[in-house]
Amino acid sequence: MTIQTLTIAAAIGLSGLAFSIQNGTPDNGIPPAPQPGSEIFAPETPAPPQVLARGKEMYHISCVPCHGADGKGDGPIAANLPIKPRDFTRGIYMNRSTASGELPTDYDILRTITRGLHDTPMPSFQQMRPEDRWAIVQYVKTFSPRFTDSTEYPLDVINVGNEILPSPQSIARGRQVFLQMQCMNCHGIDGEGNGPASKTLSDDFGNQILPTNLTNASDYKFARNVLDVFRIFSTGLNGTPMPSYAQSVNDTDRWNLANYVWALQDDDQYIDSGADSILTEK
Amino acid sequence: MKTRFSALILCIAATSSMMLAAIPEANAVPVFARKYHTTCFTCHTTPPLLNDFGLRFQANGYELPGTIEKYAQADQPSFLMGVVAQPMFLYYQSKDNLGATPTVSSTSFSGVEVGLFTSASLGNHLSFYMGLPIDYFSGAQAQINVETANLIYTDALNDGTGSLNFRLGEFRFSIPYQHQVILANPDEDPLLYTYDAFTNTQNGGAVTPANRLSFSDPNFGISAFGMIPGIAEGLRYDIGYSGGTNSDIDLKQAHAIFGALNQTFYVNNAPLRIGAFYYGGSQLTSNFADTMGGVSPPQWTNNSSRVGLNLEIYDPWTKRLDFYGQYLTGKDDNVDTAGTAYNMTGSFVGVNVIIAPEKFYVYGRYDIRKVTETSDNANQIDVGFQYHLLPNAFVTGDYTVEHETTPQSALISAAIDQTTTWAGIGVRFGF
Repeated sequence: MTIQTLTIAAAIGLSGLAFSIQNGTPDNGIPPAPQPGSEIFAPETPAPPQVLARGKEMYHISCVPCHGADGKGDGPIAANLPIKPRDFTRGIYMNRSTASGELPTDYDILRTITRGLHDTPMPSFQQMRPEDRWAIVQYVKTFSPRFTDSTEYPLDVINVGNEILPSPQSIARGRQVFLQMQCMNCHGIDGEGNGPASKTLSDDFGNQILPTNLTNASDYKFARNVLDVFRIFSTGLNGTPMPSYAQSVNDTDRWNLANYVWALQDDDQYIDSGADSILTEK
Repeated sequence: MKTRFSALILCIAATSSMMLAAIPEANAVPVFARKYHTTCFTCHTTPPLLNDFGLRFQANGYELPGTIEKYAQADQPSFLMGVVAQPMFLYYQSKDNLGATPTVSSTSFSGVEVGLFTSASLGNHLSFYMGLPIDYFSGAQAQINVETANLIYTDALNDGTGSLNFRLGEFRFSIPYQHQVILANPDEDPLLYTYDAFTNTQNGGAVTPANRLSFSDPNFGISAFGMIPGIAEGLRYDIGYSGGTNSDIDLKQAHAIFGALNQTFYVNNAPLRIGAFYYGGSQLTSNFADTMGGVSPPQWTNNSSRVGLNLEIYDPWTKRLDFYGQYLTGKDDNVDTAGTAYNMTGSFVGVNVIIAPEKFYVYGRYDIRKVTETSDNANQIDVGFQYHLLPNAFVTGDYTVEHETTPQSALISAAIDQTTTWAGIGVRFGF
């Protein structure tokens, strides 16, 4: 029997087996996401014991190598990673939809698990079952007492305001805001992540970090669209030097700034609009 | 000589320049990192050594642990083929008592050895993996070989844990420390893995197995494998049935079973692994040297078995010293027409030292191997380094010395005393 015959026979057989198993997703029990501008007044409904047990099982399968069994970010491979895994016991999360310093919503943690952090050791677990990802969210929250501390609530889910669509005018205004807010100190005058302070930055855990190269799509760890960029300007990245601009820059200018930053890494679409010269204007 | 050396330098510089020019700005590394938009260090301490996440990824059928992929191949946005290329300068020297010229040495430029590999999901639970090294032959066209090609049915229990997977086709069984850095010595594998019971036999290795059995080479067969997370920090297993390493499978000529268990514990979050494996079967053998007057050569069956124990531990403080060792015993009950049995024992110990994560590591390994009946003794020492020069390029260097002695005896017609040295330095590219 040749390898080709064997492989073809196996492919036919296993394909039949694969498609014969129905993958009907049951009601996964995930509640609807909180809407921007809403407030969460109390710790979100405690997860049932069976959800926590499943979350612990899946956490041990998928998360322990980096984050460690105790959630301290000191898993068996953490020492050899340049970007240190999150220490869940601190309850400090970068990727959130809540105001600066606040806890994330469950959906914020779910979003990070689902999307991953681009070009870092944190991959996307999009193909993990939704109910398993949700169970991990519930289990991860048990590592930090902040999630059961009533003084942490209500959570303020940031309001996205009135979206401003990208235009040469919006991008030009965004460039002005970029310069006024001294973003170039870290991100560089052209957004390439090479500002004068870029080599001196560290996070709250003492790990050196580099500012995002805003011109390189691969360097965006969270943001997938302009709304995500707007959200980061509004919430800041807790645990890092990236502050929230929710108090210092109004909604309109945060949208203009988001349009400008997004255009930096996707400037081809702006060439025809005449906005390309704005991107590098000093 | 100077002209030839200059030509070699020019050649490697040109090759390197062409390859570097092709490297995209982003960390576009081989297929899995590209597929999952992550870095190679998600799964590797340093390529090709797997870390704990990589071991779980491998045990889940080359899919992220905890996931069951649903995408069909055509729906996957990423380029599904990875390439590893490695131009190298090589030095080789052999000293022995066997030929008319006791010392033979050479230096060469190995060109660009290229290995292709590809893997993708074919649909819900179903994926494949293929390794396709390209061999170059002097004066002949390059040839692509299928080294491994197997279909994987993942998460057969359909519970999201990936604790039971099946594999069918040509694949390597899960033995530890198989994939060292690809360096100067083409037989870089530990001496235990390259042991061939038929080499130093009474008739000078003229015995031909009809279908070779080797636990370290790709076997044709089927296996059940996975990681059971609920047992300590993860019990990894692999149980399989093989028709040998040749593609013309005939189970009447060769068949073997394989079983491996590896238990991981964490000591202050440093991995400690202990395991054992067994590979045993029978193979039809013959001696073509005995063909006389048109008579078919005699055939007989050799029963072969290998039993190994392995241990690996990272230092629990820095987690950058990875010590490992393995002990293996092997028996072949019928290596020639006289019914001679050979018993082999051996072991190796080694260390990988991660000096700068993702950047620089050095390694060393010491091997010994003994065959009781012939008093054949072999030992080997191997040291080397790997430096991560660019996102897609590693500078590698390696030095290996192997020494083997076998006294004359009733089984061996002439004493053997051989020392072989390999040294190499080159650049390994991954795309």
